[in-house]
Amino acid sequence: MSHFLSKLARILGPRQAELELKWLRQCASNELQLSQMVKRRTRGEPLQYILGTQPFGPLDILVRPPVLIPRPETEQWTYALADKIIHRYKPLKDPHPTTLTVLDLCTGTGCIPLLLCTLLTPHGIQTEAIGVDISSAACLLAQENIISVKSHFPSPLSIRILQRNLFEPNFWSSIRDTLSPRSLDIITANPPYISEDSWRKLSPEVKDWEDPVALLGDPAVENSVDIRRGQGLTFYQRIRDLLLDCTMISPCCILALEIGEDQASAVTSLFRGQFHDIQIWKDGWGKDRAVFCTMERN
Amino acid sequence: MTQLESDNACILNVIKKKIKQRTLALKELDNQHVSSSEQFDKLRLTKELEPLQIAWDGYTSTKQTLLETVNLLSDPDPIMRSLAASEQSTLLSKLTSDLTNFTQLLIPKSKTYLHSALMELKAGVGGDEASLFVSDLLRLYGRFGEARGWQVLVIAKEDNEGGRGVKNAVLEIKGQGSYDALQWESGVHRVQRVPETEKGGRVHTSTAAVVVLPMVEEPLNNSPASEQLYNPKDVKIEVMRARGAGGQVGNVGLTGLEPSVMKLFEAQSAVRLTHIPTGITVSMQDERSQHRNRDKAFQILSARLLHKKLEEEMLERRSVRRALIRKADRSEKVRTYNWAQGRVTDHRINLTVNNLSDVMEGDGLGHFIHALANHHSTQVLESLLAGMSTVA
Ligand SMILES: C[S@@+](CC[C@H](N)C(=O)[O-])C[C@H]1O[C@@H](n2cnc3c(N)ncnc32)[C@H](O)[C@@H]1O
Repeated sequence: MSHFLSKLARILGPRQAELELKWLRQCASNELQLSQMVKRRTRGEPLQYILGTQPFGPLDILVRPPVLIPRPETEQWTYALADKIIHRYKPLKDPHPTTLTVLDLCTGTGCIPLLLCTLLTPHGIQTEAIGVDISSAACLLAQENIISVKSHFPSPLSIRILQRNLFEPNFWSSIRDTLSPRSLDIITANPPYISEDSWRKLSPEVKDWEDPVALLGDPAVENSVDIRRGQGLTFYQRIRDLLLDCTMISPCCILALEIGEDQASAVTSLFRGQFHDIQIWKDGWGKDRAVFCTMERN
Repeated sequence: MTQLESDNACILNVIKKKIKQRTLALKELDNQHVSSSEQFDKLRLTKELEPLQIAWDGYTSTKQTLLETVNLLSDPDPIMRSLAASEQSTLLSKLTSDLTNFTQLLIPKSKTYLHSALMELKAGVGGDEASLFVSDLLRLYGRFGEARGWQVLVIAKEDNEGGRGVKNAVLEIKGQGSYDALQWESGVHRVQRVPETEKGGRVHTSTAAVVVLPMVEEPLNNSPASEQLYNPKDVKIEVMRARGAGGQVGNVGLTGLEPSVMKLFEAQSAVRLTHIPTGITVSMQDERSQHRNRDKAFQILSARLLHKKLEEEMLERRSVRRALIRKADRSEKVRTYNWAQGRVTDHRINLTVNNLSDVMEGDGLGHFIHALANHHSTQVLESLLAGMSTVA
């Protein structure tokens, strides 16, 4: 037992090693499995991949390489967004629940719409959500997460996952069938936002394990026009253009975007104009982490 | 009977005074319209003391019959005499139970009888021995709670690095009355024994500190209880530890990263709460989920604030009534567990149980808890009496 602890302590420090060993132990079904898990951990694999889950609010989201592990900052802003939505849409006297349509771009594990739905349902707000991701590994895992959350929280959960590329020229028409006749009330996205320079300096625990496609903010895009490459902002630009082009948007649609630590001013300036109530939200560590705004229908 | 009455002189005195108060109030209320707030107070007083009056009337009539049977004890008829004797013993036991009933009627109902207990255990002086003692206590309280059908949960635990035992732990004992039962455990507990590692067979003395707090249920759900305890605006929530750039980047800063030191990002986010008006801080990182760490931290904060509030209320009452209640100070040595002599002594009530293993492995702790609760009731009664005499 204590040799596991000392192995882990060498890379994690004593306090962290003790905690992680406790969690590994809770998850392992026998000593042999535990020793394999400890070995994986000492080789630098993220604990979450070894345990297979990451807590996200009250949910346990299934995680598996190379799909990005949900971050605590994302959990925090999703809570803040839920508050905002409840404040705006909570049915007053009407006993019939409101139904909102949510689109989550770059959904990964599907954690954002799953948590939103879980947080809103008790307030009489139901959601019909669509999650979109380019990666088949992410789409598959998101499907598994929907089933897993449904089995733990038996609520009328309606989420559909579509494998789509945000940069496809006919992006909207490719999801119109799934969406219509409804229109979008909430749009969320935690798009890749790390610049190539920063990516190279990432910790091996992130760089060696998580899909670069989930992290790199400036993908090589065909027929791309005027993109300030190198700052990880390509996805924000694309999302803005997509929204300005969209005909399926409800009045006062809320847009919520996660951003990298120095991107607040660049992202807000991208959205000024058609979007108002632009708000920069700080995470629990005091960093600019999300941009919330409301969209005018054109 | 006189013996019985003199043993309970203190209680009887209090009751007589209360009954006198009530009679007076009743008289003053007679033939008057109840209108002023002063009169309402009197009305409330008579209503409050009504159960006491009923019990007192019962007691005096039993006493009366008892006095009558005393005469019959010297009756020339032997049958009469034996009848009187048996009657007398029934009456005496009735009187005794009436007296215990009085105690219950007099002692104000505990404000915390619904609360569950949150226990914080910390190793004190004595190094590894102190940590081992904390794990002994952890087991002891766990068993005590489970035996009473309470739900026992270890909320947080920090093992003694390198050595054995537990450095500190937070235990939640869920169930009605668990706080009232365990509150007496607050204070410094001392252990005297020969550590396993000690070659010379020398007895070491080590300590562990125990703090018992009343738990507030549903910490986050705006329950009225926690609402009164703090204003959410006064609680600063911090996520502990630097987190590098955060977000997709993770916990590790982008610059100054030495590839040879593979520092992995932490899989949990510790939470620290600071209640600004009191400066009380609580941190929690035992769970992987920040959501659960936060809930637990809020629960502990509520418990600390409730404890503080109750203590302040008590101080207030004490200064008004010159109460004699002496609540265990956190730093006060309350109990000694002596392995060599196989005994446990509680220093507050000078009670020694010469069966250490019954305390550690059986239900011996119950004796202490029971005795401490009784001791407390007596003190409350004494303070009531003292308070009355200043008023009278
Ligand atoms: C930073 S991850 C966010 C995952 C998840 N929403 C979260 O917050 O944990 C970004 C996701 O965007 C997806 N993605 C990358 N390029 C994309 C594209 N061109 N179109 C759609 N999704 C894309 C990646 O597969 C990845 O799952």
